[in-house]
Amino acid sequence: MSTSAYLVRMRPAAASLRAVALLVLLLVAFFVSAGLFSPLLLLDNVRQAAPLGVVVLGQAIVLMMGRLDLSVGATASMANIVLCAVFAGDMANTGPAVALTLGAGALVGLANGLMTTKLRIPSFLATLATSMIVAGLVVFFTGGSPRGAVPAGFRVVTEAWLFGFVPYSALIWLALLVLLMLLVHFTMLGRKMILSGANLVAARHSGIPSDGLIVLAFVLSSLLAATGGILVSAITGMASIGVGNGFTLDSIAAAVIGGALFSGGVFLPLGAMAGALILFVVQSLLYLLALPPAAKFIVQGLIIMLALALASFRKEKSS
Amino acid sequence: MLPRGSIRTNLLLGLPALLLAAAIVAVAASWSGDFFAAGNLGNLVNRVLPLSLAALGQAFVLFAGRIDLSVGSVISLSTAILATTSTSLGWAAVPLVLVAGLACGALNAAGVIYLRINPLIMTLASSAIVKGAALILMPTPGGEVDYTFYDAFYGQDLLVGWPLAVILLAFLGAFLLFGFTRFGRRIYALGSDDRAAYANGVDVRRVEWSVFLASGFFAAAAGVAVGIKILSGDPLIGDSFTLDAIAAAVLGGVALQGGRGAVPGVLAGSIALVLIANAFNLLELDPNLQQIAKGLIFVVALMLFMRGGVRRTA
Amino acid sequence: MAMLASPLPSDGAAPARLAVSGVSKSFGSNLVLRDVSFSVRAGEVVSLVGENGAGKSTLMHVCAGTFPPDGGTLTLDGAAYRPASPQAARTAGVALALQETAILPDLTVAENLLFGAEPRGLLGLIDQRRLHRDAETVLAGLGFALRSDRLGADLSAAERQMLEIAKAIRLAPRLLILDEPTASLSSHETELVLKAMARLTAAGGSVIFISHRLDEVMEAADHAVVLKDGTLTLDAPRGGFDRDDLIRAMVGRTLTDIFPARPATLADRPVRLALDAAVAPGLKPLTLDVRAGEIVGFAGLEGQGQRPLARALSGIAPFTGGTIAVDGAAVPVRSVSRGIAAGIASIPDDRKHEGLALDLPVRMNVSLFALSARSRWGWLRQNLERTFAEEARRRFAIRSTGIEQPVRQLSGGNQQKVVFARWLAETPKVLVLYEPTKGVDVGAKTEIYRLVGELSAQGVAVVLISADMLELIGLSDRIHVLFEGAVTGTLERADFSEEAIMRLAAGPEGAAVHAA
Repeated sequence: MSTSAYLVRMRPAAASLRAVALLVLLLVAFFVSAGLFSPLLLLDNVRQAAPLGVVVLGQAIVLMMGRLDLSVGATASMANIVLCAVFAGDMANTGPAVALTLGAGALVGLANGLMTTKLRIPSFLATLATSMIVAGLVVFFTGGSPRGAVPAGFRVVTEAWLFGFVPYSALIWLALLVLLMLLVHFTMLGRKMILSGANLVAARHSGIPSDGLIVLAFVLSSLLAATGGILVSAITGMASIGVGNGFTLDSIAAAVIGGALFSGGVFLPLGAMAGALILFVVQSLLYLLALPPAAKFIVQGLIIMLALALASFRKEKSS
Repeated sequence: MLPRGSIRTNLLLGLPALLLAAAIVAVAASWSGDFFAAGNLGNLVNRVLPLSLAALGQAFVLFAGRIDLSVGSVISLSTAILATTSTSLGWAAVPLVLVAGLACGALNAAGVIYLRINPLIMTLASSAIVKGAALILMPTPGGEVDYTFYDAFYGQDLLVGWPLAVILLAFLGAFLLFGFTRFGRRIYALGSDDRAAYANGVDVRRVEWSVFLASGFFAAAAGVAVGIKILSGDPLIGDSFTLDAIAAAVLGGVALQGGRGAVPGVLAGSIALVLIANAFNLLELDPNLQQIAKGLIFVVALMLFMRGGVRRTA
Repeated sequence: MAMLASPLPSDGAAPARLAVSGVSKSFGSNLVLRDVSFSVRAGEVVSLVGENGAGKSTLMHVCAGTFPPDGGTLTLDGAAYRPASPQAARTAGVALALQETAILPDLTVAENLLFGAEPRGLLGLIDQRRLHRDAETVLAGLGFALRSDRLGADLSAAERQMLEIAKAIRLAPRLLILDEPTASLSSHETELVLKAMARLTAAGGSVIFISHRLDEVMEAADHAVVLKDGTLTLDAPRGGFDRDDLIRAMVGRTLTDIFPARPATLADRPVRLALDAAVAPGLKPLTLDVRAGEIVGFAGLEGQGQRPLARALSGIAPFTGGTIAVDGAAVPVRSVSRGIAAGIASIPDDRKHEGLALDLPVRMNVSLFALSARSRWGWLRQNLERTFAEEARRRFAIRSTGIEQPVRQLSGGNQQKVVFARWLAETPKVLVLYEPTKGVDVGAKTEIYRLVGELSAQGVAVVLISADMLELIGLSDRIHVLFEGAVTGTLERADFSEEAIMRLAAGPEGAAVHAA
């Protein structure tokens, strides 16, 4: 199967294309207001947007299943605390630190998945509840003052550039994106996930074990949220409570900009990537324009509304 | 003697929350002699007030089978508006806050009705917008709410103080509205089954408008109560209220899929939630455990009520 | 054929209560009503009769304001009548009681009955006590045995239907439209409904009454109107038609040209599917043999166990007792995937909710089983998928712009063919069809019937559960009739007739009454 044919078949990605166009426009605005252009500055944006970009991939998988994960922010924040505590600033602890952080993330996802499938709690409430519990656990165990730090050796992950012009974090982001694209579009498992997300009842009635796939999606989302938390930790180098909280709304907004639908059945990783970059550039722009940082929330809310209003009007026109 | 009809079923749904509240009172009172102290009781009423108002607004939306995730942000914005205007405007600041709440409700209604955005997502988006507005108005907690407000509202040494009076008045009014008016019945009808409601002549848009406006209004009222209590504004103080308000309603027997539950249950659910937090304080447990416990209680309540909530005809 | 009655009232004095003239209506490319004209006089019961899909319900919805006609006019008591909504029609005095009822599940019987007209007392508040008393009075007046404080969700199909009829009658409408009101009712309940209709007409009201039961039509109708394929084929006053006239006007087409030929005997074929005392909720113990290549039909009025049977055979809601065997080997179909593994393919009745992912392309909708059977190491073979989808589009004559068109944009018939294509990627041993042509146009129907014929010729055992009499009679080798979850009668091919099926479908009690 040729790549070009595959790309042709990604046609619902019209939304992704629009997102990419918007991104280019914003970048132009960004460089104009920054008063300089340099590819390195562009790549530095990519580097800094990588944590969000990784989290968005997970949110996009959950959205593909027709669910919502409101716990990604709390999970990323928790990852930062766990990572720093286990690392304790010592590079020798890399293995356990990363493994425990991802393990804790996976547990959150498992809880989310089981609550929405076995207990039939709507996903947005189940994940809202876990996010509250996770945040509570973090404060309880740290007593409000987290300890530990990320060793300088590990911070290479986000701070260093391969050959001096490709940030490692961008490579990690890209690798995860390709892996998920392979999973969703090139394996039977992924196909069954898409079918379950597009119509759960029909998928069940075709013998697809949809509940298991929903749990899998939530575990993937939490793993990616924890990975996002690890990347943020590498950037900041220290433990602080609530560093990832903004990811929840950011990830939803970015996925929606990239063409994701709340009705499920759509997975557009390139759109999600463009969405993450757009959000990041918008924030940088707001900063450059000296707007209050809180304007970010307003822009986010408006973006979500606009993207969905467009989607609902398109749907109406086509049916 | 319970009235006849669906209201009887709906009232009974609130019974578990009432029993839970009673059980917590019994346990807390036997463990700590301070429970029935006048100070503690007054403190309880003051804490029930904002939660119950927010939960009441949420109940309007839930009865109609919709949801409002912007309640918390509206509360934050309300405290911010109150803390920036109360010294200059005096009591006129209060209606101003309530109008702002209605405006937030109108934003939600417009998005749901005209842009056809799913209420869950629409109110999530509007909660970001409202939170942004609150943070721009007041980037960090501060400002000042006139102390005369506190004195007049919380400081009176009456048999039934203002906070309790407001709770009773709001819930009695809402109880009559939902149990005994045609309008309340249309809200239940919409939550019960959208299509059947339409076939029975319910004006769906009008009902949606009114429930979102009500939710915005009551959230703003809750924000006023919070602002007067803390004597300042806080652009993030409302965040925890969104989940708490839904939790109180669900605990009180309100079905998330709409059409079921009653206002007294919402009050019982709010009281139970506040009592749980109060019990933690009296037992001198780590306050951070409270948040974890609240999350777990919420999951359990949802689990119990979602099970029974799967509709036979669906 | 009986003579066509004039649309004008014969006494010439008063204008007709409702006059329908030249009404047409189509949905997409599907012409459902074609130049239909008839009239209803004051105090008259008009029976509207026709096969499934003849356009009866569409005609009623046009009269009741659910949607406007594409062409033609309506008048009510001589005045132009163009209701914009059901609400507007109700205000004009036209009430419709639907088959799929508009009962609010969380309100009580009384609250449903008097919705929007609740009696109010002190301070304008609803008087719940009086509300329930008033409702009891209405129900008692009609003789309906319904407790006023039961919740809508707890009512049976028959009880919901009775309540819906009571709601319509309570409005004392000028014109009452009842859409198959008796389909789920017992004969006693049917009597009550007919009596209520008589009382309404005695008071000057008019009734349009859709029914499948010809005995009821003969008993109650002052006037009969028959629709076939959207066209009026009979319009005659009482005495101007008999049962045979009705059946001729309803059916009146040769069956051989759209249904595949059936073999003369199947007795020598091996048994493919065997059920022994199989039970499921809503289904009494069922023992059944289906031979290879045999098509066994299941008929019955609505809600007599068809759905539990279909869902149990497919493994969605498995049998709770008894045994099920395919080719002599017991296969416990405890889940859909176990059923698929045993070679059972099952076409759901509700393709939009249970069969298709409407927003995904044809390709993804047809390829699931083909890919599952041929995937290696869990990889999805994209080339193979495309080839299979193209081939399926040809084989099943799916009319779409290509394999990438979202299924939502396809017509009902083509959507159904997509469902067939998914399930028939591998030839199954047993094919369970549940309302396989519901909402499907005639062209697609013919193609589906041809396909079923081919599969049975290849030795597939087919179980056909359907409310479409023509389809049952045309396709089946044998028909079992379900009543209250049990098979109450079996017809061999030589004895097939709509009447024979109807008599058995009415149940033991109904059969006795109608035979008398």
